[in-house]
Amino acid sequence: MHRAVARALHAFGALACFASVAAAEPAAVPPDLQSLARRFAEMPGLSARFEEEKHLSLLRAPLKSEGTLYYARPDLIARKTERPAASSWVLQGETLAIRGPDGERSLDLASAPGLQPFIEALRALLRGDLSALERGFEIAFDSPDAASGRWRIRLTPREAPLRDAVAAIEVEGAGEILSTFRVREVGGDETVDRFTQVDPLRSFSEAERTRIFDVATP
Amino acid sequence: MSPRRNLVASPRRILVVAAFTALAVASAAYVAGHFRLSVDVAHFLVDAREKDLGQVAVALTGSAQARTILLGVEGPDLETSLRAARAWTATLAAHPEVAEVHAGPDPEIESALYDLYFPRRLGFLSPSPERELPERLSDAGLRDAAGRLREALAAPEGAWIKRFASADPLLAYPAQLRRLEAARTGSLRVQGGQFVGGDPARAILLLTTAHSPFDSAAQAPLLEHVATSFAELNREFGGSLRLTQSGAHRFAVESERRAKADAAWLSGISLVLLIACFWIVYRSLAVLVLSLIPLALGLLCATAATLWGFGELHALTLAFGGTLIGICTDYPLHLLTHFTLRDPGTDARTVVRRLRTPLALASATTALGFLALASADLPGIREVGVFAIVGVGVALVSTLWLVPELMPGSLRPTRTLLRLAARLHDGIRSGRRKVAFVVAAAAVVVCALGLPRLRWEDDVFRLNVPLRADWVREDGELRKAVAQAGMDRLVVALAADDEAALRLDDQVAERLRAAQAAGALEGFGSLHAFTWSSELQARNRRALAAEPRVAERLAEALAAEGFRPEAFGAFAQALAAPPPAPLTPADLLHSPLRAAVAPFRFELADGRIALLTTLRGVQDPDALAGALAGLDGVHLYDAKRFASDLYARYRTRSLWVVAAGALAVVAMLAVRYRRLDEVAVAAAPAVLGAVTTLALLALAGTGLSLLHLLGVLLVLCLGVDYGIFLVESRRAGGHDDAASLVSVAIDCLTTLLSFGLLAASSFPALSALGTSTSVGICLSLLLVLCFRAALPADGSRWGEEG
Repeated sequence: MHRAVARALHAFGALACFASVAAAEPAAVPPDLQSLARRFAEMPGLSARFEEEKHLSLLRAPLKSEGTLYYARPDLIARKTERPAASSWVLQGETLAIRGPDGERSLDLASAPGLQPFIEALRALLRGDLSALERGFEIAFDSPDAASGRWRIRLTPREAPLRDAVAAIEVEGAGEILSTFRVREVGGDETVDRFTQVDPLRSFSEAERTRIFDVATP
Repeated sequence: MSPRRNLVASPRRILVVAAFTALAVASAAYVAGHFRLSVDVAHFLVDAREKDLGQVAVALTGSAQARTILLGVEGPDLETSLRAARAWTATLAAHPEVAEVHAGPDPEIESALYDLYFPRRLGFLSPSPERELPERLSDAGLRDAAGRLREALAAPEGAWIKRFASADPLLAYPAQLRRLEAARTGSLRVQGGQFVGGDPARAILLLTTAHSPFDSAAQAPLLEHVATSFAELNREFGGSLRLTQSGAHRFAVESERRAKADAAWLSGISLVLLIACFWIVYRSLAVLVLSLIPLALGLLCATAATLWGFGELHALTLAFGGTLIGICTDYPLHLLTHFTLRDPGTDARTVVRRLRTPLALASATTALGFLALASADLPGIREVGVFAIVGVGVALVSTLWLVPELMPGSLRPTRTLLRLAARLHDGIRSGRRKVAFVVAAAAVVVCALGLPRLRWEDDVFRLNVPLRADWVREDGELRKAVAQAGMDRLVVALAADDEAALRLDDQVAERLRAAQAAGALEGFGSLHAFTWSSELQARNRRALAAEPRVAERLAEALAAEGFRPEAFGAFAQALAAPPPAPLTPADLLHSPLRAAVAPFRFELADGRIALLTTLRGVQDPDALAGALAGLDGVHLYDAKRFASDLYARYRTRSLWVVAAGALAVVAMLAVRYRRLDEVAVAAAPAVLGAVTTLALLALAGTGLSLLHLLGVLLVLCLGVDYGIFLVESRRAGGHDDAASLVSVAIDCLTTLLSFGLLAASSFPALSALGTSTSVGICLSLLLVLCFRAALPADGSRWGEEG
């Protein structure tokens, strides 16, 4: 259970794609939650560069990493970390395939009850399915500075075991440009992702889909 | 005595018939209540209960892995396959023969792993703690560990590692989980909580039966249920599903079906041919019925006795029972032929009195031959021996006491019978010793040419029907998909208890790792991936404690890597705390890991523990054997080689037993006849016929099996019977010679009909038996007639005739 929830925290880095959609095309008017969700639903796929900082109580300084994030409808997500060490994970259907310094392994979501609702919520978000997202999280959307178009979404897990590990997930942006994606853990640790070079209309050839999203070669 | 004497219900007749009827009814009732047919190859594979690997082989045939059927459900897409498999699971589970059926792993397995391993992680630091830990726990080693921890936290599983890093900065727990994952190979994965495997990917169900896969009575209905319920499921899914399956179950059921089918058509044709033969020779259905009575009684009592003694009847024993037709019908036929050709005025009792000695002697020599089988090591062969002895004994008793009471006094010889008797009698009388010499010399020449070419085929699996190629392919595909390592090549660690066996298992794993690194094998799976001996776990703790200030030095190394040393207090506490109880096989067997662990551990009948290591991709068997040399209690088990070696040993021993049996028969005949020529006529044709048969088969290029040897034993028994009948009639004055000659010829014909048909069986074992017996019995008859012809007509000894 612990392992699944913890993996889920990492997988939630994929929420970056939520931010990247807006980053590509600044909107003329401040978005609301429904309009953002509609845009996600129309998204064919995307790619984006990310820079991540992990603030852990074990470490005096944050762990930094960077790489590229990919998403292809309906449910393919891949995160390829390039620095400081190469690693990756790919989500395909119900299988999460991981490649790290210790080798490769795959994980079935159904055998990880702590992870499954998390991933389901992620998919719901990417599909723009707000009702599905609300089943797992309380959603708070606010726009404190209407003139600049800044806004923030705060997702609070409704149920254990996710609620025992994650205090909140916060996504911030301006207009339709998202700036940060932050996971705040119950214990005080925090992971922050920032995104650049976003292509929200990214489509993938068959060869690319095989190369990027194949769970056998994460 | 009136010719119609036997139609009168005399008190003696009533008593005898009632006694035999009671015996038949009692036997039939016992058989009806206890009948249990087995096709378990282990029955013919292993006894040697005192032998270590013999016990392991027996345990393997009834193990959970052997009882597990893999069912692959393949639909147009994986989603449909999973849905169909899910829907089917409950239907399968409802069958009483299904002990358990799993569509996916135990959902509690992840938390079970944590509970089992995390508290004991410091006992699982290294399989070679004295060699590895000093280096890993040196200052440099601890700096490496801190660096690895930092890398791990940055890696995809960093968030998971973080949860326990403060208590496990050496990452002992994830290392143990990696050992478990490394033990799992193949394409089996879990998706949506269900097993998926194979190419193309399909849903996999693991169905474990309650009884042995070789228990056809239990498995046939289950396989029928699997077939019908899948057909129904397929209809619900529009006919888009395909089922694949593995497991010994359907091979066993198919073998039994083939055995029954063979028994049915062989018996049917045999019966028709026997009726035709009897009608032509005797023109009397009464002779046929009467000659079948001792056979029927013999088979019934033999079946009851075997069930009583062994608890079940093997299909091969039952099929072999058919061959008893050849022996059991000989006795009543001999009696009936003599009665039919009796001199006018001779009553049935006189005929029986004359024949009592030859029949008793014939059955005694047969029993002597089969006594060797009854004392055999293999239960299957022992069963055949007991079956035959009881069958022959009952046939003899009923021939001597029951058949005479039922013989119609009106029985008269037909023209065919008289003509046959006259010709045979004339042939013998006009025979020359030279002919006997030429035939015997020819047989000796054949032996000289053939025996050096004798080639023994000791592959026991070739005794069974050839397996269906498509099923074998399906079985292989599914096993490969789930990485169910074959149990045909194993390393077995045998010890008095779990701890002692685990210590051996630790050493086996260490040596196999070295052999794997040297390329002798591709991989192995064992209990060692799940747990180590308590001693090795304790040695890890001791090696850890032996290193000074591990917590403090690690804190310094962590600080140098940017960690906050004060965050790792849980590790220091774990080092200082008393160690938890070691992880034992019992802990694992009572956890959700039971299904994964159970195939590696067996408790033998004598209470000892056998731990198995499965081997993958053995490239260099000799290097492997060398790697394990010197480990007492550790055996390299190759199922095929084990069976072949066992059979080769048994075959060699059987050859000696058959030879000893033949000598015993000759001794018995010597005691009876006290004349070399009569002993020679009674025994030599059978012995020479048997040996010549082996030589002929060798010349034909046939690899000889134990079943050929069994056939030769039958030839010896039957051939000696023929010799005895002829010698006894000569000793009685020769006036019954014609009857004995006809009787022997008809005996041979009926035997040939039965055994000749066996040669056409699809069971290689039966075919081998049939071929060797048919050839041998023809040779025996030819030789016994020639030898008999060589005896002087006046009753004098060889060389004494005028």
